[in-house]
Order: sequence, then C-alpha cells, then structure tokens
Amino acid sequence: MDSEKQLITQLQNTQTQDKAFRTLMGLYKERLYWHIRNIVKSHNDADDVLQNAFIKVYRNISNFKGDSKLYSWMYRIATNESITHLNKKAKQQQVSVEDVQIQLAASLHADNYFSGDEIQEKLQKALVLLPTKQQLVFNMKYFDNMKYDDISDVLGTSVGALKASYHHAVKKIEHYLTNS
Amino acid sequence: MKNAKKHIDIEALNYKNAGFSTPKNYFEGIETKVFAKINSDIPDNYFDSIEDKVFAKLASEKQTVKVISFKSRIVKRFIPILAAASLVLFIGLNFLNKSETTTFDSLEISDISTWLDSENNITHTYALGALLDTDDITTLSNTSTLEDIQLLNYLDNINLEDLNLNN
Repeated sequence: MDSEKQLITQLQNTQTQDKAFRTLMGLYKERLYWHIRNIVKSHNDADDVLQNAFIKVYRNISNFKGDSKLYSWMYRIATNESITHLNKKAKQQQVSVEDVQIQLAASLHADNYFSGDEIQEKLQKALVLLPTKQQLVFNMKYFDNMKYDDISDVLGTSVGALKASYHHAVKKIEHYLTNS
Repeated sequence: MKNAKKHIDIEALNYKNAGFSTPKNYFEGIETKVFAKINSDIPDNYFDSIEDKVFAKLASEKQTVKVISFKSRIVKRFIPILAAASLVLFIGLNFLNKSETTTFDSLEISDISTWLDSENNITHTYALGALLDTDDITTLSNTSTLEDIQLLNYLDNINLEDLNLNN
C-alpha cells in the first residue's frame, strides 16, 4: 500500500482520523496557502480560505473515492473556496468580481505582506484582467510549477486547452507589462 | 525615430513567487486553528440556513397549538351535549315504549333517577349541574312535585360544595 492510500485509509477511520489529518495539513498547508494566496491576494483572506478549505476536506474525506489524487482533490476544494470567497466579497461590496480583483491588485503596494518588485506588482495588475480560468492556469503553471496533467485533474480541462490558456495568458501579461 | 519598447519576457524572468509574504511563523499555527474551528461544532453554512430553521420551528409550534385548541373546544362544547344525548338515548331505549318519541320533557323522574344510579360517569352533581343552565333549573323548580319536607331532608344531607352554583 503506498503512503497516500495509507493516509486516506487513516483519514477515513474515525480512530485515526485526527492524527492523520494533522499529518495531511503538515504536508499540504504551504502549497495550498500559496495557491489560495495567488487567487485572493491578501494574507488575511488567504488564511481564512485555507482554514475553510481544510475544514471542508476534513468533513468530506469520508466521501473521497480516490478517483483522483488526494492532492488534486484538495487543490480543487481550495480553488473553489477561493472563488467563492471572491464572489462573496463582490456581493458584499455590490461590485463585480473583476472589480474586486482589480482593487486587490491596486492596493498591493500598501500591503505589509507584499514584497514584490515593480514588475511583480504590475504582473498582478495584469493577471487580474484575465478571465478567471486563464488566471488559474497561469498561477498553477507559473507560480505553483504544476504539471499540465495535474492542472487538468484539478480544473477538469483537457491538457490541450490548458496549454492554449497558458499561452494566451502569457501573451496578454507580457503585452501589459511591455506597454504599461 | 520612435524608441522601440523593450519586450518583457515573463518566462525568462522566471519568478519563483508572486512577491507575497506571510507573518513570521505563520505556518506553525495552522493545524491548531483548523482543529479549533472543527471542534467548535458549527456546521458549514450553518448561519446561511438558520432563518429557514427558525421559520420551520415556528410553523410546527403553530400546528401543535391548533391541535390543543381543537381538543379543548371538543371537551368544552360537545361532552355536555353528548352526555345529555346519552341520557335521553339510554332512558328511551331501556324504559320507554319504543313506539313513542322520547324528549327530555317526557321523561319520568324515576327514569332519570335510575339512569343516575346506573351511569357512574355523570352522577357527580358538578357534572349534572354543568348540563343545565339557569332556565332549566328555574323550570325544574317550578314544576317540581316534591313536598317541602322532602326538599328540606335533601338539603340537610347534601354537601353544598358539590353543587355547581356558578353555572
């Protein structure tokens, strides 16, 4: 039995669940945090969303059938939680999700937990102008360094379509950076 | 001549991260925070559905109140009527000629007395009093064939608290 299957078995057993869940969080907390942070931008929001994503994993682990990798399944939950968070924020502020993201990117220079250079700041401003799917693909490929097969598992999109999305995203971002 | 814009190749820049950072030691406390939330026992989206739950509970309470109200109305209004009907029917079936039409006025005092002796559930004077209104009692007094001496003997032996004088 490989280590992932063993961990899933322990997670689905009420006797060993909590201990196994602590191990799971230790393994994935940083990767999931950065994935969420790239979507929601602010540290406080990323912290909230990460906790909610882990709680969702804990409560639904008994339904995990193993059709995809545990890692992909958790990434999917984290992605959905992040998007839900942005939607809620947009609803509260009575603006569009795109406007929320533009505001978040525009306020990065005042964020204590943003230490990027000028190009990194502009990159964020360019990124939020892309369609959501292209943003996700770019983040997962460029920053998370994920393989297309794994991104395909998370987003449920073919590898070919993902390659095209990434290509378009890079071109648009480079155009923005070159002309701004 | 125009200055050619310098193309920025994002892949060549190869940023390892987006420029975000976290508070010091942030990752060390996540497990504890997550378990604290899990153990707080408030299910996901609990607050999203609380209004529906409250309204559902209020609706079920209203239904319960209606059932109690209906029951008490039955007891108050129909039990005396059923008792009176039972009295008439019992005497009619057992003591009167079946060909005659039975009414309360046509009953003999002895028939009523026999019924009272045999029907234990309405022999209490309070229950009997509840069946009669003031007019019924006045009519009974005016048409009574009891001798004064009999009435005085009765009053000497009855417990006044058993009479339903507030009817």
